[in-house]
Amino acid sequence: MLDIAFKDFKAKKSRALMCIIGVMVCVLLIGTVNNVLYEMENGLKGDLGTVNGKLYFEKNGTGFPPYGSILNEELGDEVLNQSQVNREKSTKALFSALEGTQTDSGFSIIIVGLTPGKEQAFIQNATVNGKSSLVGEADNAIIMGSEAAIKYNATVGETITVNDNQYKVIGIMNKQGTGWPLSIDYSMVMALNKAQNISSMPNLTSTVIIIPSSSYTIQSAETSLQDTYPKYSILSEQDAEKTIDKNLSQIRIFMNMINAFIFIVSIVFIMNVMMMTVKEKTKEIGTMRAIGTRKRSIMKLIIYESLIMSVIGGIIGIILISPVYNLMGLLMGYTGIDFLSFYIPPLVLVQLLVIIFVIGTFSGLLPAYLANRISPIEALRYE
Amino acid sequence: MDGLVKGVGLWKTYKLDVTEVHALRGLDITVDQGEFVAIMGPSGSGKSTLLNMIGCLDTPTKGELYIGDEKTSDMSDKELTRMRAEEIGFIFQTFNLLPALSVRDNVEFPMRNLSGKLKPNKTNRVKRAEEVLELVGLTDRMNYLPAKLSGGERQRVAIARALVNKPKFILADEPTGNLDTEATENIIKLLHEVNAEGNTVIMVTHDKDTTHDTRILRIRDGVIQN
Ligand SMILES: Nc1ncnc2c1ncn2[C@@H]1O[C@H](COP(=O)(O)OP(=O)(O)OP(=O)(O)O)[C@@H](O)[C@H]1O
Ligand SMILES: [Mg+2]
Repeated sequence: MLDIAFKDFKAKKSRALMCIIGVMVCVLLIGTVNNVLYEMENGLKGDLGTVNGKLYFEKNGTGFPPYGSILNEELGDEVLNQSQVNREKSTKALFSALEGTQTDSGFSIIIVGLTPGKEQAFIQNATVNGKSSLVGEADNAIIMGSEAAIKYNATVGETITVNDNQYKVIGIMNKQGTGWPLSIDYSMVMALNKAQNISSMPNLTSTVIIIPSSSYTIQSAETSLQDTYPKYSILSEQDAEKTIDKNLSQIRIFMNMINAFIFIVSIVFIMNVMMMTVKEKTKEIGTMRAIGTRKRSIMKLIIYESLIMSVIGGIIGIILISPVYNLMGLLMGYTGIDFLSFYIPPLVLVQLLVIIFVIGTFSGLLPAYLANRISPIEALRYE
Repeated sequence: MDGLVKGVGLWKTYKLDVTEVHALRGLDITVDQGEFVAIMGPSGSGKSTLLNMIGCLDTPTKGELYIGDEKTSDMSDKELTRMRAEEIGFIFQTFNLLPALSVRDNVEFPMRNLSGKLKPNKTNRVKRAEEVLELVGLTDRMNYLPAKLSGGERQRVAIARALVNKPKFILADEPTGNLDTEATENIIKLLHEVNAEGNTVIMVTHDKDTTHDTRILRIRDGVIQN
């Protein structure tokens, strides 16, 4: 019956084309949405790397990155003097998003002000082109994240102007996020007092980035600091992960709602076309039944036909996902995209194959049921 | 000799709201192996109803119908489908070929409806289809789609399709109703040739000219008159 279904399908090209395009668009949309979701998850999870091995001392109820948190510098100094804290490596830090600096991908440039000499607390593992320390540099010296550098077309040694302020770029970090960029990639690291000036937050800080002293583990430092400061939050990698998961799950629900919608629309679409087909073929189906074709074979014929269409459309859709995704990136201002590269995360691919199969089968079921209700006697009368 | 088709006291009653329409009213019929039977009668007299019943497309409301030694009057839909596939060849007034399939595929198609040992493999199915097409003189049209054929040619394909499973008999409901005089003559001649090979033919017709050398059954108001 598969070969007959294929011949039927070829005989009605425009109808088939409609279905194929329908499934193609469905797979393309779902695939792209899932790709974005996947990279976002990857990227945000990657952000956790910047929290790894340290604690963020913050105002209660704030998360990571610690934008909403405001602390007095005196409190910061007090925290730095606690025995759980490695004073040499830990630092007060002011995080603030620079207004009017939204990049095409929706992120703003983040100012990170910290005590010169303690850049490692934030930069950690990033490789820096140029200098990685603000010590002995001009008051307006900055170390830039990769995406921030791209946005301002900055090179090491140059002076750039952002919101009427001039900065001397002394170092540029390599990109930290794989795929989706991380907060660190959008950062401009500078001296704390400079950051306080620019964001008009004198004597204020957002957080203390804490590296535990040698007699404490991350865990024990967190518990013991929390005991000392019950009204503040001590954010660890686990806490950051929770915040990120919470944010992600909302996005995930939203994206999956979009997916479900696209999915249902395309099933209804193909089902509709297949119902038209069945109606149109009443006489043929009746003839087949009259000359002894079993109901099961008729059912197979219809389902095969809708499967053929959804598989062809689905495969074209899958092939197009990568280029479309790259094109999206290009429109969003990413550079260095390799259009010949073809990549779909295996998990997304499996999801899509299941979707293609389900669309093909489900959209054929109702039409097949209708086809089986055709009485051969009535159909033979049908003109 | 026992009849190949034997109907006893066949009734077919359609209920339309409150009124009942009796398409057949206790009709008896016997057709023997190798016969060529023409069923004639006025419009609405029940010819198609009878033919559909003999063709296992329908069952009588009352009465008994045997095909060979199988009682079809109380068979399930599944069994009736098997009977149609294995024992009966159909020819329709409007040809009813499958438009997406070539002539060869149309003739090969009924063999797919067979099951188990009866079903030949693809190679043998194609071989058999070509053999029957040669019989009806359409060897040079095998790769055509039905839309490219004349009415007479289409009906030849339909005859080949009806013959391909070597059925017990062939049923034709006004096979020449959509054909001109010349094509009609050719089709009737072909049906006689098929009959001469030993095939039983039961045909419904309005046209007296198509009934020479056949046993004529006249049906009126749901019963056979002669
Ligand atoms: N499904 C049905 N429901 C109700 N009445 C029906 C149905 N099928 C057939 N009839 C009636 O049964 C009677 C016999 O119909 P049938 O089709 O057998 O006639 P026929 O002899 O083949 O006529 P024609 O020469 O016009 O084809 C008609 O009165 C018809 O209206
Ligand atoms: Mg009739």
